[in-house]
Amino acid sequence: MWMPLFQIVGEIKPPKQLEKYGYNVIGTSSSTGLLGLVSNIIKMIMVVGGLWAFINLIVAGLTYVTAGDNPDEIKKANDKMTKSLIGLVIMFGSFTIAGILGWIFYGDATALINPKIYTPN
Amino acid sequence: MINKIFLLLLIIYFIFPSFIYAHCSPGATNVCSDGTVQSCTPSGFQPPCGSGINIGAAFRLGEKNTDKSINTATHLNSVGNLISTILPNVFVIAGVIIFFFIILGGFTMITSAGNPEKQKEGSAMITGAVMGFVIIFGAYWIVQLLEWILGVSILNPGGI
Repeated sequence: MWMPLFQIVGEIKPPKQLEKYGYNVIGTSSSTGLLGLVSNIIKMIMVVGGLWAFINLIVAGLTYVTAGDNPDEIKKANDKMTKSLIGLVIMFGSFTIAGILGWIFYGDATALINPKIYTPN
Repeated sequence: MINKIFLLLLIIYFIFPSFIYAHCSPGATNVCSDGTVQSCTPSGFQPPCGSGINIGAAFRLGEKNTDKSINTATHLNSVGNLISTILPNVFVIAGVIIFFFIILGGFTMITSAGNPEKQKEGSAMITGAVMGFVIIFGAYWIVQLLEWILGVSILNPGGI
């Protein structure tokens, strides 16, 4: 009974749109697979985050310039600046943080950055 | 309701063709039109020619199919091939839909006029659209991951 059910389903071929990253999820020697997509998304987040922090710093500086002697405005500009810088540091230090966490919990610094897939066999 | 109808059709589609397969004595062989030889399975089931059931033949309840355009359509002779044919276009449609939803979400945010609820609605629209698109784009890989982790063959169940 099960034999014909399996046979009539047939093979599902990969969609052409995955050609850029490769059809194999873990990648081959010439393709990156899913990890390539994730890497590109992380790169894009880094660039966008960096630009956003840059804009925030400029706005904070402008607030400083136009604040005059208003303590509220100065505090606001200070907050904006420190938070932008803290965010930048966390963002670009995330790989180090992931490495440290992997080293503490898994005993391997690349456990989170370069994950392995375990198969039943 | 639609779900139930779909499920019923799916069940019929999977069960029904197995009745119209020819039964044979185990060990007997059958020569296909393309020259390949299909041997009878030990359970007395005659495998169809090609890599799956021929839909054209299935619709005619096993009668010989004279419509050459259907009979020679190898890209539609199994469920897997049907999905493989449709799948690239799903990506295109998903791209159009995400584009539309990002425009709609941005428009909602612009016209929110300071109303935080409306603004939230717009950003939720964009977030949902992007997440859905990423899931669709990675669907093939996600299924592959499941195959790896569980050790079962999902994308090519006949090729165990």
